[in-house]
Amino acid sequence: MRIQPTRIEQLDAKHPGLRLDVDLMLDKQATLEAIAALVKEKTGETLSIQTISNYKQRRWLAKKLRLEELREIFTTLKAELGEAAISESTQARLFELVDQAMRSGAALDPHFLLKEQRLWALQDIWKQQNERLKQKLEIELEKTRREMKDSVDEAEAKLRGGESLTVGDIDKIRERVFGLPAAKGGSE
Amino acid sequence: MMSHETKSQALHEIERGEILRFLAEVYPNPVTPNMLMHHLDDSAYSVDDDELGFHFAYLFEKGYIALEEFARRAGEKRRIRWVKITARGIDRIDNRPPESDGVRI
Repeated sequence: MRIQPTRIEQLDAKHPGLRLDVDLMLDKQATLEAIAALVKEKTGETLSIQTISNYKQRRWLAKKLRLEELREIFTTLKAELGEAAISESTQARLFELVDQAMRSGAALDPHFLLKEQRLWALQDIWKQQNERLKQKLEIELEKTRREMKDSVDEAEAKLRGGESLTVGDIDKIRERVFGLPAAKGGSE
Repeated sequence: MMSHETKSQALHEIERGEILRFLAEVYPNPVTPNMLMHHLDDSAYSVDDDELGFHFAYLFEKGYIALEEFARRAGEKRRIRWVKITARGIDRIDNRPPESDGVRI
């Protein structure tokens, strides 16, 4: 897509350096009226305040905002990666990649990496919590299995020893093995 | 594209000013020549490789930028890997007089 030059850019082609002067005045927060006066002085052309305002919004401010965003994303990236560990050569390449991504229209949130990082950290916490819960459940399960086995072993030992099983023995099995309440009428 | 012989001296000076101002904006980060070239395109100060090399050499000799060169193979033309503005370059952008060291104590 061809970008339509602004009036100031058109004048800059005839009067090299005009745009630079305008940019420098905008950097110094000069008023649009003062800029119009400068353009008149350098080129003899009278520009409306709206024309200068358009240039300010479309070029000067757009460039400032883009650079600010680029810097912010890159600074965040460097901090996350550990700046000291990255060579200048890698930094320059990385910076170019971020710039290319932004140029290609990638919606890079300035805090993209930080958000992702927080999400990863949260996922790590969830994983750790799940792991702890799993371990706790395994311990509980093992305890229950041991109790079930003890109850059955106890009953089996009684039978092998010629003893009869009591209602209490059955209740233990009902409770530990099947998780059922004791039989009505109670144990002996 | 005009070569650096046909472009006006003023335009060269403007391009070098734009290069320095961009490097100051992203200071202390180093940038690749490619990224700088894209920026110059965006700013409607397009330059070709030779012109950019010329500007880099000029600014480097003035002490306004630092750069790292590399060659893929021995004997091959050296390329610039990254450039960044120096403290002296920032002083130039800020129009700081030579007698000032940029630090007020």
